[in-house]
Amino acid sequence: MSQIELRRNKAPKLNRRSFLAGSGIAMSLPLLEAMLPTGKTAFAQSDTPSRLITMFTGNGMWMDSWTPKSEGRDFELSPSLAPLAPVKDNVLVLSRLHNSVVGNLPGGQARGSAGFLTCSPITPGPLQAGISMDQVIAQQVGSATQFPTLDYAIDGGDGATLQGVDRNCDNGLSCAYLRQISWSSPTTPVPNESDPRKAFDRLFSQNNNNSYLKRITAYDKSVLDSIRKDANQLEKQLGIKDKEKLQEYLASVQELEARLKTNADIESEMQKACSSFDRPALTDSLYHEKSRAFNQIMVMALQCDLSRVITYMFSNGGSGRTYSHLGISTHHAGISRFAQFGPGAHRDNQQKIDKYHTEELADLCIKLDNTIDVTGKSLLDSTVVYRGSNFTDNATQSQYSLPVVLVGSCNGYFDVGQHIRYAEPGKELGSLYLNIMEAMGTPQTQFATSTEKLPMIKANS
Amino acid sequence: MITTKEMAKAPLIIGLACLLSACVGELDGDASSINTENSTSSTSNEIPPSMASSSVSVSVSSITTSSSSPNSAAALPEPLAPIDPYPTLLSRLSRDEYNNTLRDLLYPNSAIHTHTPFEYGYNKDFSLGRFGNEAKALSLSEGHIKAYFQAATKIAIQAGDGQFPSAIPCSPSDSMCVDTVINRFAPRAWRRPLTTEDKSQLYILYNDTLADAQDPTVALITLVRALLISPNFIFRPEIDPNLNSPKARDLTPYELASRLSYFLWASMPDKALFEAAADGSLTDDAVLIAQVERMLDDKKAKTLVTIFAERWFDFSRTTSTTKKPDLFPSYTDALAQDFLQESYHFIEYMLSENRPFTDLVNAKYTFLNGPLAEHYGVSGYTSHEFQLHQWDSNSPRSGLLGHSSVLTGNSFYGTENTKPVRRGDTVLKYLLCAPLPDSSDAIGVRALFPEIPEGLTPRETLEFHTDSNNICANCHSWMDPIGFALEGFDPIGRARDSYPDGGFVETSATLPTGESFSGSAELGNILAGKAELATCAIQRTMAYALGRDINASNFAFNNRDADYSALYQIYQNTQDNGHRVRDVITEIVLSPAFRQRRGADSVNAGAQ
Repeated sequence: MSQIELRRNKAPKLNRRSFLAGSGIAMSLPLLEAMLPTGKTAFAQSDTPSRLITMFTGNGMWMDSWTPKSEGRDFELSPSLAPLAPVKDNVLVLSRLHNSVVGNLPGGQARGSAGFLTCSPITPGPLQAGISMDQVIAQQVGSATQFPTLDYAIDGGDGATLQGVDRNCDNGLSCAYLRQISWSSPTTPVPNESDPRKAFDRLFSQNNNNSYLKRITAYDKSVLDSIRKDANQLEKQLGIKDKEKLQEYLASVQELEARLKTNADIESEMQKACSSFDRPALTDSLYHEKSRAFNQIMVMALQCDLSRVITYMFSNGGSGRTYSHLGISTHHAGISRFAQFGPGAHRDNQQKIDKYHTEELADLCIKLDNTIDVTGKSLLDSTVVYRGSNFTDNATQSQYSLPVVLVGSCNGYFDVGQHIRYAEPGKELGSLYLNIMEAMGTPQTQFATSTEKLPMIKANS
Repeated sequence: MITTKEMAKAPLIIGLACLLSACVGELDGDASSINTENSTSSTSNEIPPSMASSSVSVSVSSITTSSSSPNSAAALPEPLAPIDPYPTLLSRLSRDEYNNTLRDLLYPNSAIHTHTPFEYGYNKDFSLGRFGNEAKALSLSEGHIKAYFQAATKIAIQAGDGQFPSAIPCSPSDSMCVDTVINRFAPRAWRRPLTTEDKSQLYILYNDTLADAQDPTVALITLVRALLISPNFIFRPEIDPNLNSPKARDLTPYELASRLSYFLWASMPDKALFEAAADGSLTDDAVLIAQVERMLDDKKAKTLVTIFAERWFDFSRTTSTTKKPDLFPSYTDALAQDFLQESYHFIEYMLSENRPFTDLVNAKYTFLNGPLAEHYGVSGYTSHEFQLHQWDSNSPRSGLLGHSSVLTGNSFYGTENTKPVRRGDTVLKYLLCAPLPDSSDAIGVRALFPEIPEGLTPRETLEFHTDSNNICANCHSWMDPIGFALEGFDPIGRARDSYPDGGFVETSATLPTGESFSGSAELGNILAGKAELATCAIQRTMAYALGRDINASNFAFNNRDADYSALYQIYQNTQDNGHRVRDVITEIVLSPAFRQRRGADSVNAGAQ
């Protein structure tokens, strides 16, 4: 175990200028078993845990250059998906998936964003959507890690106002619908962190309020030796039947001891791995720099098993961002609306933005692929990165034939490396979520209105 | 036919060859099984009743009858064997017991309600067995040890922080504190005085750790951890000086104190009990009786309601029962909780007032709060607090037979139909300990199931069961009439006299022993006169007290072994006052079955 090279990541490290050496930054120690509530484990022993990252952008795509023309295993990546070429074997493109229940007008930006992970319709008035797919998963696996979910956004609360009125971002619908995609209950959107530095601090500066824990763990073996003596003494005095019970006890103590030892090894390995991280020091708040910082942070969070469920809003629903570093000066929502009306600058810019989004997705996936976890596997093997948007495009704001791509097989669950176009009339996004929940080890019989999983996307089925 | 008058004179063994689950299974697929004495014979319906009780291949039960006055309940058959205390299997603390023990260990002088419930136990420790405290069902896995390890570590760190001043009244950083822990805390944790060997081992652990860590707090935390993961804490050992001795021995006073406290409190002994153990006085009858009285008056005795009675009557079935909302709009989760609370208050009252067990079937009182009173159509209650309520003498409600908890948990979901067979089955199993066969044995059932003609009404269909020419009658001749009596209550326990389709509810029926009745109140009075009601209650209470099955099959008193002898004595000793709850508990505690044991290897413990 100690020989495992935890990071074979020779891929681009963040620029030294943009990352402080970070003196005095507390490193993260995976929680010791004993600190966790009953049943929680710092790291799964036998199976690599499954992980989910959901990456969202607002405003849809120019679908003609996004959807691959060919299907099956020999499909060719479309121009907008081309940056995924290095991980193409891990790519699963799904076409003709709909989020029918959401509806579109009026307020399709908000409806599509709120419905993206919840598959629920919304109305003007008090906040009400549905519990989101990631939260259903987190409610079951979240207790296994320090953070049940991590929710990041580049824009956060201030970036997405279409009309400048905080409580009314889109046709009378609250801004909350556009700025958060994760809902822990039908009425509770989950706030997200938009500052990578704060995100880093939260992950890696957890203050250990129990200074004794580490010191007493050194005497675990003494404790176990002592109770073994108790058991042996007791056993001598018991009848045949009762001796069996003591044997059960002793065998369990033995197993626990082995587990504690393995954990100690893993901890020391993870300690090495997780202590070498630097805090991002952003030179400005440019989305591009934040994007790379968040990509790095998400990889670190999975590598150190601090969380297994992440949502990431690369841009908010209805985003008005101008992609200046791509040389674009018009805002994205407008570009997406007018790109549909014919060839020209808007369509060109939309394609540039779509491709750029894919580059950032690819950067994340390549980082995951280049990082191995303590079980010796690539992080991408145990992860699925789900990438989608709130509708097809901002002209139609349609919920039919949505842009959907998955990267990573999630421990072999997904039959990656193909493009599936479902036959008319297509399938529902909620069905995909049933698959994702199953892949994450938290199968459900129903999500929103969907009760059937998608065909063809499971490996070995 | 035997007349009621004749029956009153002596218990009549009426063979009730509950041959197969057959007929139950067809109508009621999910009645739970509590008895596995299934017969495999396919011909036993031909065995004459008089023969049935002697047939080993047939699951037999009989019901004795008597007049309806509990004071003159029938005499039971004489026991054939002396009372023979078994060496109970080594028992592990159940999850409830573990949590309660930690609570009382760490906060010895506090009112228990000032502390939030301890939830340290293994969260997957779903204790199986009837009452969750059966030694043979309490196995142990790595998951348990891990949970114990984590809990002990957490608690020990808190102890190192001085958070349990009444349990460990010294400063953990003081190197003398170890003496307090070993001399005062450890004996309470292990519920017995420590031997010299125990002590020296604990001192070695402490001193070695201290030498290495150079910090008395670290050493003390390590010591407390070891104490709380030790088998001496996790288990309840009873040590036999001679494992092979066939002669019964009295429990030591400390063993007795633990048996008593885990029976009455589902927790460890308190200071007073330890003191009575320390000076040996606990083994005196008078002291023992006084301790039982004192302990039953303590709030901790509520576990007899929330654990023992809850499992006995399976009340959780009520709160987990769902009903189609459009059919029963008033049935909410909150109302289901009120159903449960009614039964809890009722049994708590029986316990505190030392009521006879016959109240279970014929009490004319209950406890109501506003929502429940409205549900029952009673006016005058508005508060959410429960208050004692007296039913009119002509009310159909009698004891548990009129509780919505019992009635609701035994009805179908999604229809307006009640489930008379299941209700009857529940009354027979839970209140009379009738050894009905497992109705889930569907395969054996179908093979022998008679053809039922088309076009019968539900009651006619059920009456087909009791046609003496078919095998169903063996069980259904009992279950069905009891169920019919309860037809006066709808699926959520509201009184009714007609069905939703307008049909008249017929609650008259006749038991195979000849008693006719109309409605649940009359049925309750008849059941109250049956000796089996008391023997069943005694048997169940003994099982909980001893953490094992009681080897005294109710009804078929042909199996009159040692447990039967104990049960008989308790029955006799409590008969004059109609088998009152506290009297029965006290007699169980006084019985050699509770106070004694034999060498662990003197009998095959597997027989339990």
